[in-house]
Amino acid sequence: MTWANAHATASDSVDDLADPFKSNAKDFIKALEDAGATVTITETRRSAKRAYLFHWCWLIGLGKAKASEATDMTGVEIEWDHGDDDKSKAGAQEMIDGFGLAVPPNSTNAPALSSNHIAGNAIDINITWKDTIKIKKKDGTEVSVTFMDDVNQNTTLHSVGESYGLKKLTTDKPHWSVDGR
Amino acid sequence: MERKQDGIDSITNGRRLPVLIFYRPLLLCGAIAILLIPAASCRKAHETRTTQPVAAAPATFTFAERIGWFQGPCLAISNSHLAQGTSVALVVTGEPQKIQPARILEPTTSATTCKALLPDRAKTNATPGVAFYALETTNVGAADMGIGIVEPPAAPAIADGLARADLLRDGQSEVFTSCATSEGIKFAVWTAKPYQGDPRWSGYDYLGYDMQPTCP
Repeated sequence: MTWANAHATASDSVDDLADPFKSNAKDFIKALEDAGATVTITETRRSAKRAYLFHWCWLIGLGKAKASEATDMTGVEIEWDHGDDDKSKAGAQEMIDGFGLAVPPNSTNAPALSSNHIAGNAIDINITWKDTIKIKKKDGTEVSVTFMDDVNQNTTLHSVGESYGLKKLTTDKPHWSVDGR
Repeated sequence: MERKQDGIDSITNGRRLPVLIFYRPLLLCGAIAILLIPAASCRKAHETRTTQPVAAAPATFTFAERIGWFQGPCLAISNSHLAQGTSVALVVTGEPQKIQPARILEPTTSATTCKALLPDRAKTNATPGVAFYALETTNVGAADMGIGIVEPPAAPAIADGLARADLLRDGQSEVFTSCATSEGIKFAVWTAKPYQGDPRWSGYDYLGYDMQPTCP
């Protein structure tokens, strides 16, 4: 975990995103800030290596896969198989706890190995402002947008983001991506 | 989305309202009498106020301040005034659900105690108005998660694998759910049946990694 927290972390820099999503995200953020909103970037590109560690420790630690089934990943030196199922499982469970991974009910799917974040096509941002502001869409037209505590409900804001090529995922409040997933 | 109960939400938990309704006119009458103003007016006011069915007024339960979500020994809740030792009933939303007692230890900003405050999660989870508390618990694992009820007005019980508690004391039980979104966990409290109508309360734990959603 120490290695992962030093060498396989998520970025919060827009510059780490993939083009053209990167330039679209920059334009959207600029439009928001020009309008008076405060934008806090939580995450941009996520580490594929970190996702790999999350994925396999979750499966092994919860007994949903044997350590011997874990695939290798270039650049990640980890020994999943401790030569004993219980020891392998215990080691993986320690990683689950240390990374703070969730074990939702009904969830049979491990943390994903691929995603828009890993590909550089998603950004997590918190956007706040007071009352109503006018935000410029990509075509230059201004739209009045009233702040809502639940950003997932703010369809007017979603339409502004979409004009820049950022689609809102309406289940996760900070998440915008190239295709809304 | 909370049920409003005859405007008594504005009084803390509604518990003091009957007393206020009964005594306020008496105090008013006394003051008026001293000022030698005809008593008829205050009697009229007294009659008007006491026509409300005071005894029948239900106790309120302020979901926003009494319900939070937890992961391991950490409760996140929109209430910064919980004292050490306050009791919390934890509904662990596994299958089947289970109920574990807990107590508030102290407010915390520790990411060791609260995984929701890990560096890649804190900016989304630690929003203004949300407080995090370390919990004193037994039999709650680091990966266990669910919904915490502060000083539950009715003891939750398990029936058919689901925790139920009549939090509003209106004869209808509240039920508790959690499910995975693409990068977090959504928690909710419903009346009678899960995922029907609007939830009484909902919460979101941003995890900062990608998952297969399970929410209906």
